[in-house]
Amino acid sequence: MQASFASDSTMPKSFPTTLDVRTKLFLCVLCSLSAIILTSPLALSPLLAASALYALSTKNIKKVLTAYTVVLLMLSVSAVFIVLLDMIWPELAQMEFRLFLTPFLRIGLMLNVVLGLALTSRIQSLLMALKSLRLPSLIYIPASVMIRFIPTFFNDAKQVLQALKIRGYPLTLRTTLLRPLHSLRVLFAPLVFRALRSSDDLAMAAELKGIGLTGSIVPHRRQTLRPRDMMVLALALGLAAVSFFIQARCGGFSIGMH
Amino acid sequence: MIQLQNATFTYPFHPAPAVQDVSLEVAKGEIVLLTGPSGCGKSTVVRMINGLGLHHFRGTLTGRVLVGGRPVDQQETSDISTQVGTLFQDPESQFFALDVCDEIAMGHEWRQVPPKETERRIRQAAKQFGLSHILDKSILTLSEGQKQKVALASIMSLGPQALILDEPTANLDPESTEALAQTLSELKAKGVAILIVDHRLYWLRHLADRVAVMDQGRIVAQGDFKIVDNAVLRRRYGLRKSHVVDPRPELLPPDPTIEHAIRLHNLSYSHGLHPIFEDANLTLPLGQVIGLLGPNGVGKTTLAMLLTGLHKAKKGRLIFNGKRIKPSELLCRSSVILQNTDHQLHMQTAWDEVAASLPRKQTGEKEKRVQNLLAKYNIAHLAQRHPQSLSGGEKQRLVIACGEAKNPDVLIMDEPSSGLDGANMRLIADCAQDFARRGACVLLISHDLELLNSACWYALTLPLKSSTLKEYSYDNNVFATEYHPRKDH
Repeated sequence: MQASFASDSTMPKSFPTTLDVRTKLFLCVLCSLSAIILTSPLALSPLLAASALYALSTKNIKKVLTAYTVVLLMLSVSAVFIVLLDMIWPELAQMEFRLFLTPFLRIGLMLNVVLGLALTSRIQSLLMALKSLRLPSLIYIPASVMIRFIPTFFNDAKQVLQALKIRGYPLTLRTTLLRPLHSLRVLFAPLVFRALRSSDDLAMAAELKGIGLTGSIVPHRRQTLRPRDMMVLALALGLAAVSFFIQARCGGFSIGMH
Repeated sequence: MIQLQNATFTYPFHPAPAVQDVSLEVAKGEIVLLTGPSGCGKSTVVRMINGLGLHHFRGTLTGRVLVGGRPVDQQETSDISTQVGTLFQDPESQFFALDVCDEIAMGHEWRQVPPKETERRIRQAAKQFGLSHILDKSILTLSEGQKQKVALASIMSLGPQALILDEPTANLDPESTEALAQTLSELKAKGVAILIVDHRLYWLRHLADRVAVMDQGRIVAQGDFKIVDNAVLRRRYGLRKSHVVDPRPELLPPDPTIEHAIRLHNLSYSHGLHPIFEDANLTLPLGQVIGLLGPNGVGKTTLAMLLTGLHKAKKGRLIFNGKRIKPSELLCRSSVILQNTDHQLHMQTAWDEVAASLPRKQTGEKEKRVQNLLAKYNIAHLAQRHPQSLSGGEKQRLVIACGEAKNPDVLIMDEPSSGLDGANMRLIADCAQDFARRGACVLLISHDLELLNSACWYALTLPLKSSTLKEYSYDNNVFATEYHPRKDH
């Protein structure tokens, strides 16, 4: 069964929905480790390109592009501040494109794999997979709630944008430039309150559903690792190896922001 | 099964208790109705029983609350949930899974029910609540009524010993309400203890064994159902009617020949691969309150969205007073009050919220206009409060005040009386009629028979049948609506 929040019996199934949730979790872990270790934009690019294809193959193109837009917005805001900082205190801010780009490539990489997981996985399967790692409930329940929160947040954002149109505050480039503070307020005030309420609701729902009540879950539909999962895992490991090779050729390894 | 003995509950950082000295008992095989004005503490009583008040909200409880003979402070919320199933006022807030089937299955999976048995219970619950055709749908794409059914199916499939239902019929169509009453009657016969918290009283006339009326955190009256037949008591505590006649058979159809109207021709729209409207035509006369009726999930809210361009139709022409316009133009002339008010409040105070909704041209007497609107909707005393800090009923009235501030030609209200007490429901009904008298077209999407009875003059029943323009005349019953003239209009 398809489990994406955008899932609908009328919508075509996507490739990531057919993958086992453990495969998707492995991709997240592999990419997060790569994001920590790889510092060169060139080394990050093969993984970034593959993960972008993976995210887009969920067929939730609008949501993926929305997430990219938010990341680009963050990039623009931080670029403005770095330029300002460079003007005021040149010793502190080094205006080097590579140093600036790497953190955002890492964000992009993680965004792709987390969206792939959140938009195409059954929440029960995710809970089971995390539980099978023998993680304490203090970790696997909040982790599942976080993943479950992503579709709710997209849904809230959609409804807030709809409400803005209804109230006559359309968020266009013109209105954003002419009244930036007003635009931020009308978008973020309801979104923040909804996000807080939704996270609280999810926590209550989890308690009332008895999540964490017993030692194990008895799933009514079991997922199994299939050849396509093995293929994806092999491809991911291969790409990671290529990225690490490029990193080694480009100047070695170090763990840090840049 | 459920016992409250002189129970008082105070939320953290609140100086006064939300519920004071409440004593109430729901025995096995008994149905108790808890009612009272909005904000009187009914939902807090629910949280005291299901453990959320103590364990999630971390409030202070004095007195005793017992579930299954054990105090709630000695049980975890998840333990209590194995005995007591709770339905929230907003069904979406209790969903954890992402599609209907998983949502029903989740409780069973964590209770280690064998997979085959889980499948059987899912099928049984889906059949009982008419959900079989939407089992693989995302819960976020469902109508509010369908969400309420999913929440009910999820709880009842677990076979709890006790049920707490907070406004269980707020989004259900009258037929589903009747079916729910039948189901509850069967559960009662099986010995399940049921506490129902509701403003709507009429459907519980032959079901409730006892009624408790709350006001300002206390139980002020308790007895059999007859106590709410007392008009003085109902007026004093702002309760709804205890007997409601179904007005739907008597509501007039909108007259398609009327000159001043909004017309929609050859409307076609599909949700995914499922057609919702195919070449449908409809007329919405100005200066009238029109009830938009139909079973849950038939497309009532979708129609409102299509009218105002919030959803894009595959095909269709919109005519306003004889002139073809775009749906987005109609949106500029409309106020749309959606069910979820949280998304529609943006400003720092209730005052700013209404002021921001006034037309930009209106500069003179702006303050007076805002003041009048806040007073009209009984929220003047909340003018400086943050809109998101208001209660559900207060938010609802604030959003309607904002809608009125815009002075629209079209007012669309989607289940505006959901969760409102009698006094506030009547306020909404008066407001709708007032708008219509001033020449606006008021489209009221509601299953609330009491509101329809008080406010509506006309009704349009979905699903609309496909037709061609040639067939479009008053005499030809092209909308498949049940056209019955209403005697008192």
